[in-house]
Amino acid sequence: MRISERIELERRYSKEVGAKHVVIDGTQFPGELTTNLDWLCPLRSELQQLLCPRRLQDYAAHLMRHATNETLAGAKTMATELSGVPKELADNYFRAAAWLSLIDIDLSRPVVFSLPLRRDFARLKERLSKELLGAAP
Amino acid sequence: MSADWFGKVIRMHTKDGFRDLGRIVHVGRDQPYAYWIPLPEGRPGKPEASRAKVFHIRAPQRWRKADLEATLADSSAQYTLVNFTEPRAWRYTDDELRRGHAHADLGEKHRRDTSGWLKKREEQKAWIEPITSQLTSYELLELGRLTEEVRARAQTLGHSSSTKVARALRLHLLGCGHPNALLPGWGECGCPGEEKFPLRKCGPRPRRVKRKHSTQLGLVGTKTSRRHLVDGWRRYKRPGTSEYKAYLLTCKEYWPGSTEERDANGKRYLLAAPENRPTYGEFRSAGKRQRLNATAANMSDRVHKLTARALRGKFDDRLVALGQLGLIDSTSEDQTPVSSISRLNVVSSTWRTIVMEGKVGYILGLHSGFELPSTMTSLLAIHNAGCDKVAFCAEWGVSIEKDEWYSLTCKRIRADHGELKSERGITTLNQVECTAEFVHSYGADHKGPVEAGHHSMHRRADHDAAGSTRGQRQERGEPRPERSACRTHRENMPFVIRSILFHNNEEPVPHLLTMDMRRDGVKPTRKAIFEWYVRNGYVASEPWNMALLRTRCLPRLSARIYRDGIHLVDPLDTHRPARLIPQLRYTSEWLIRSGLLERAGRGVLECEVMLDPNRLSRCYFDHSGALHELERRTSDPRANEVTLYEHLIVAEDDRDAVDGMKARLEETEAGIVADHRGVNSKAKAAKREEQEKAGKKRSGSGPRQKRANRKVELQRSGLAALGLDPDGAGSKGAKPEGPDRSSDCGGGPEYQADLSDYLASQWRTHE
Repeated sequence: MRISERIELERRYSKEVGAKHVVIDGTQFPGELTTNLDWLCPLRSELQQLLCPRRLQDYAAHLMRHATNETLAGAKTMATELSGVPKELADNYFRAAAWLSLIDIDLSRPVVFSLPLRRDFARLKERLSKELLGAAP
Repeated sequence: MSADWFGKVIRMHTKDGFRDLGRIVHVGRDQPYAYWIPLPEGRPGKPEASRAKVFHIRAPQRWRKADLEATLADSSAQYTLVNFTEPRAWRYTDDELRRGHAHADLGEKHRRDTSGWLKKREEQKAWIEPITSQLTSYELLELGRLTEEVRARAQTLGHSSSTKVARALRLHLLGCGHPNALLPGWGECGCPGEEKFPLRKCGPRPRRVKRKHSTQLGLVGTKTSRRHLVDGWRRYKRPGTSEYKAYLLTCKEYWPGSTEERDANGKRYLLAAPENRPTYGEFRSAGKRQRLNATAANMSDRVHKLTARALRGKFDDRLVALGQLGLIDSTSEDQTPVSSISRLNVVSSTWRTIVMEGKVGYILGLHSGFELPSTMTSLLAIHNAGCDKVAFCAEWGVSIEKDEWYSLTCKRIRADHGELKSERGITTLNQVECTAEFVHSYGADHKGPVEAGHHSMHRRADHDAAGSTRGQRQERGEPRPERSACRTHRENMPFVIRSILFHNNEEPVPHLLTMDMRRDGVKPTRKAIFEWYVRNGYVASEPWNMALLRTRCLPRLSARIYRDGIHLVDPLDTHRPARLIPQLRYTSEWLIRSGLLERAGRGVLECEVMLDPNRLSRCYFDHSGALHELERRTSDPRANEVTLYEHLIVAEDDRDAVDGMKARLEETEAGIVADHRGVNSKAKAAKREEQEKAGKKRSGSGPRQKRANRKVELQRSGLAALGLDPDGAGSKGAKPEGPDRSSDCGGGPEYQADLSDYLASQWRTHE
């Protein structure tokens, strides 16, 4: 009840000041997106200590280059070799690159390594920005 | 736009809501009209409609398409087009109509004679069949042949008027050709959600009427009586009060006995006569109609809602990778262990905490011990999930290869609303970059596999052990499990580990296989599936700072540093300073070199160590920013086989034993002290007497004199050992070989010294 009252107050306030009012309750985000983000989200310590930023950029660039012809698993292997990423950290680099949007990957659908990379072309971000902020990013 | 109008309902919006006017049954091809038939009055929102109005289907009407389009386009207009909602009976197949129930009803009971509906439909269908088989709505409406065809057909059928055929054809048109549109729609009488009130008593006749003891059938339910029943149900049905009691209380309140009627003692009846009040069945039906549930009332509404709620999906619907979510839960083991020290001492049941990977159901961590479930046991299990399992199993006497039990620390841990939910638990998990999630009460489905897995684990690991409770209470006549208990916790643990290995490595789980796994020929076991996920990169980030995890997960115990190592303080001792736990001393090469032991020589240092209560062989000491492993020093080769709990019990038993001996010890010591004092007083008296005899005080206490006296004492004891009289009063044995100078010396000191030397040389020769 109190939450409803608060939302209503915020809505009225937004109307008064001419701001856009959107109630974000999770239904705006596809279920698969939240699942994938939950999976790909790297740990803070990983980003700070384990992964090299420059190598991460290289890795993402190589992966995107090979993703058009290969399966995602093949592109991962190629990117790992070409960017000099240690094999045991290959998955960490992939997750971090996807999380940081260094890879153009459609996270509103399941990530399948045995298929070619499904690209998003920033459509999802654009749609969400329009829905939530009222403008393209 | 008008092409989409066919079959739509014209809805008129008013201040009070809306009203559905009619359905568009034809959109003109040649004519500029849309043809619509008004919906029969008495449809939803018109409960007061007369029976005739409900039955009557009005003739098709037309609306100019351009006008309708303009009306709909006008935003301030009151009309919209909406989809037609078919009555439920229209979805029945002919078979279902014949049977009287449909699968879609899901067993919902009704008393409708749908086979009669089918007959009615077929009858009406037969009336209009020649028209509908040859003419479409275009000819009937647009070309205006409807009236003419209906009249001709009625004449053919020999009907006195064309009303029946006209109604059937209009109904057919209103249904837009739906095969069940001609069903009589008797189920739609009244309004949906409206209660029906009978005018006379329904149902079978009561027994009293059948036996002709009474002619009154009973109270006919009215709106008021039903409201009273519902009010009574709500007021009196409480946990602990049965529905029948609630019915009686309701009757007492709303249908009390008449003031005129009295019993034999002149006392007024509490309840009205049975024929003047509702029956128990009516009371229950009134409650059911309002969705009042006795089970819900007994459990409390909140609990019932939580337990009987619809599930939004399975917990693993949102998991795509390993390590994304770990489930943790504790259960008491169905075993009755005995003490490692004596099999005659039965110990209370042990507890098992399991960490299970959410995606595959792979058991990653285990903690089993005497400790009750707590934050500590949960953290230990999480710690175990990330530890090397080969060493862990070896400690319990089970030999495995590395790939038989993998280690993984999950990114999120989902636990009960209990043991892990403490400041220490949450802080610890946050520090090792784990997220803690808590399941609300009665939400076991959120971590279903680990809850359901307990039973199979118990069955494999516990139920065949001697003294097992088999997870059940002791039945009448059954021997107590304590009587047959004979196995220690250490003996039970290998079976727990083996059952986990079976669960992880051998149990077939074909339902977990994906299409990619099938293509790759993955075996349907959790191990193979786990390996496939890891091999293909479907793994979430794993907290990797195990040292940090260890420092946070293992329980901290107070300890003191002495010169010989670190001694643990008894956590159960409430006195200050608390006593030490005997025989728990830890040290290491690092500790010896650290200089702490030297510092401890100047004064005891207080500290804390981290110890796994099930592994006393080593502990961890956090010092100067690093975690150091210390080893236990003990001469008992089996001392590390017991847990801390058992070790503390042993220490307590030892103290009890000492307490029992204490009285005897004190008695003995008191005797010794008393004897000393007696001998002292006698000796002092003798000395005084001797001094008095000597007449003057002898200077026999100087160093030289003391040495001389010692020699004499030695000779005397030597002679006494040989059985000779040290005072020369007579030999008790054979004389020693050698020069006999006793007559020359008369037993003086010189002689005694020589004798002593001689005896010493003899003993050396003899040796």
